[in-house]
Amino acid sequence: MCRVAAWLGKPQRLSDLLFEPDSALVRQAYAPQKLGILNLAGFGMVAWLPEDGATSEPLTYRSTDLPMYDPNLRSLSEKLHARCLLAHVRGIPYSTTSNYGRENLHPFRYAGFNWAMAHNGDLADCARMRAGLLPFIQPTIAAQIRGSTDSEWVYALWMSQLDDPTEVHATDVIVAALRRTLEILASVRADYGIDISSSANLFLTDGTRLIALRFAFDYGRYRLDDPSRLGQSGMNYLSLWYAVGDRFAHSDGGWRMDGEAAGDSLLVASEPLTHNVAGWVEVPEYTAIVAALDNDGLHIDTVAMDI
Amino acid sequence: MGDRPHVFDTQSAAVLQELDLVAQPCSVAAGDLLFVQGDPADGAWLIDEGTVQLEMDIPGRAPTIIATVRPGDLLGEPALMRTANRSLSARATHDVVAQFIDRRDFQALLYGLRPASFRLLKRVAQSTAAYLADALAMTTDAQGRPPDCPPTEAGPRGPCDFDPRPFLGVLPFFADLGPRDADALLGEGTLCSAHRGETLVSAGCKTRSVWVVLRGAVEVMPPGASQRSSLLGPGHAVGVHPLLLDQPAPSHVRIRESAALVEYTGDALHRLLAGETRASFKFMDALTRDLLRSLDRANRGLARATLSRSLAADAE
Repeated sequence: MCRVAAWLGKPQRLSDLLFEPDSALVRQAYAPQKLGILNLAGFGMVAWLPEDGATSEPLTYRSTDLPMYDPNLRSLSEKLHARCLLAHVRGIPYSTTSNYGRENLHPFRYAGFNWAMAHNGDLADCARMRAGLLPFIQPTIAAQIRGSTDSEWVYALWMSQLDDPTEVHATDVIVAALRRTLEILASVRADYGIDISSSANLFLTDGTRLIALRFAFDYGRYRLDDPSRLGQSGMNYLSLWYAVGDRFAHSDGGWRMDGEAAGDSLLVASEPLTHNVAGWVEVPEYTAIVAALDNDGLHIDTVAMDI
Repeated sequence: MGDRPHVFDTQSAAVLQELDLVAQPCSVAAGDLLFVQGDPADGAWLIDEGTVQLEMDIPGRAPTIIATVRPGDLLGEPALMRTANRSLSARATHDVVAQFIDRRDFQALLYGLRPASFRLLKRVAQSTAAYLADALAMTTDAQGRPPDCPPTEAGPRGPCDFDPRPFLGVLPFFADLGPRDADALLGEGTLCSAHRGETLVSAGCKTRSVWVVLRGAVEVMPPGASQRSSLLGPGHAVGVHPLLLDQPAPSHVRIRESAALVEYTGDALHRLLAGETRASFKFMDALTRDLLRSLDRANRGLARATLSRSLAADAE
């Protein structure tokens, strides 16, 4: 089911988000607080460092190793600071049929494209929908699909709603493409008679902008075939939280956002990185947080995505 | 906060005697904290004298005052029903004399399944419902209250298209009950279904029903508001706090995703609220726990609204 954390703002040491807090993202791989399954199918991140330009390639790291046992990740994260980070621990069903491959690790970001995407959730019966989705995906983008995840298909579909994903687009164009992506998915699901609850919490970034969407199709309509195998996404609306301030730091006995509430940094995560959720704010259902970082600082908006 | 029923306002000697056993007298000096947001919650305070301010912490801001608790009010009552962390901080604004009630003592008292236990449980539910109503009103950007409309009977519904019994163990409303109690409670209601977009309750109407969502989802939308106040999925109850407070529904309730529901209405609901059977005790227990989950959601919404208003005030 996965867990995700993203940062946009003042340079922040990566280990302050990945390892140090009492519910840091890497800890969420084996001890998530708001999820019933573990996230043991690998780790991935993209990070833009302080010296990176607006259109620079990010640092990319993906590994099927368990991140809590990955000394390379630990060492990197203690040395590096990022102004933008999108990191993901992958959770998949405990099954010998699950595809554990490196090609399925998030975030997805095709060569030359500006935007990366990580997904928290799963689309029911996505394999059955693919033929219906293909007409909405640009052939050159479809050719880049390497893995077997529903998430990568969502990424390919979203990128296909842009004329040229290698170009820089205004934020409203990106958000419109995201809305169009959700509408296509809803339409194809209807065409195939799929009305099973499917979570689509999406995290999107190009290094200077960050969009985090809390969304579900057919929320609450869980599968009826086997009560003992009900997934959490069928019962719960997957959570999404954020905190705003200047830096994420250890103070007053715990990790928290310090500085002004209208600060220069945004931290978004599937669940808070601390057991104490004071200072974290939950994103409403069917809503996207849209943040942009420029010379004037950080600008944050909320956009209803109620389709 | 508005007027709340004194949680242990009872003439029952049996209830008072049992309460004497669990209530621990204590005092708190003005300015001191009774508890801090995020701390584990272990019990509740019944305030006899003094006042307490409930505060919400937002990083980079002075604490925001959410409510004032006065003599006769119960403070922190979610802790009586379950283990959780405090969602707000509580600070004495005047010297406080109170009775602390430990959760374990309260639960030992509660689960005696005696008439006195039921009365206590119902009082906690009503107190929680009043807090919830106030918290929801503070969260919405809707202006004013909807006009009252006459009491309505539940509208026509379709038949339920699946057998929900195998799923009761994973539905929050039923999950804390044993399988036999859950099954019995389901049997007290009427199964039905409704399609996306249908209205279950109109704002301003007094309803005579409580529903529990079995599958699908229901949304609660204050009239004139820009955002829904709640989205209620499987295992969540609908229409509880207006019923317990005997108030008109403050919001429209609509089917968000085609839903199967169990409806408690008419004589069945009357029986379940009377407290004379095991099923009624279990029903009130489930309603109270559902109200606490709703209060959690409302507090999260309140945190969001408080931050938004604070930022908007800065912008001006």
